[in-house]
Amino acid sequence: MTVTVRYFAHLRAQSGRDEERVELDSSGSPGTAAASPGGGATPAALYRLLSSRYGFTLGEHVVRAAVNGRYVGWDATLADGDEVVFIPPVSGG
Amino acid sequence: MADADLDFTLLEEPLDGTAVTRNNELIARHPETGGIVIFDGRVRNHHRGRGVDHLEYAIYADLAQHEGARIVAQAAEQFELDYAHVIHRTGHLDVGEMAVWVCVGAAHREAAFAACRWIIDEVKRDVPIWKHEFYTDGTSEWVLAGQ
Repeated sequence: MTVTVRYFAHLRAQSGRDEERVELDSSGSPGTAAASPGGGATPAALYRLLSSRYGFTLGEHVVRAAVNGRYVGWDATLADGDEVVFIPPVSGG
Repeated sequence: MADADLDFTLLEEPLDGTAVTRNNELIARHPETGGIVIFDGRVRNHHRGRGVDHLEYAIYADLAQHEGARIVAQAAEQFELDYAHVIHRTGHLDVGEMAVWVCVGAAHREAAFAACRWIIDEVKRDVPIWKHEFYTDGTSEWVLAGQ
């Protein structure tokens, strides 16, 4: 399956891209890097994979995950076609 | 309070005129309201000791609209408001420009003050908007809240 990852702010600057498609294998993981204990891909595992790829400096304790325009938990299950956005600490207002 | 008048708007243009118009419309629409509290947030010319020249807001619009709508709805229920409107700027803002406008109406002032404060705090915590500050020394940085 494939998910689309969109980047904003700090993560856009550090990844050098606005968005990309990430292929996950049939068990829902690129290799085993993004697999949850249950076997499906999770935002937590995907974030770890992308962090190691791009050297993100923001840890999971300050970043939040969103799927298809809604906040989700780090252990949510990703599905084919999902839009995943990792939310750095916000600074509006 | 099933029928509170709620709105969360993301606006690309300068918002001073829009805020004045919106306020007048709300006053005309809500004769039951006795207390109005407005928070008007501006771009200031300094941040952590550095001179700020201008800023740009980046927004994840889908989630921002969803969270904004949730916040005004929750405030209306929690504080028994007649209305709660929020307008947040996007794009390029110069020093002194209005960045965010929160306008709350209730029967009495206590609820209006408390709700206005609650709403701006929630917006700053949960709405996915990021500030890219450009400094007078030519450098720029994505602001990290709580940094």
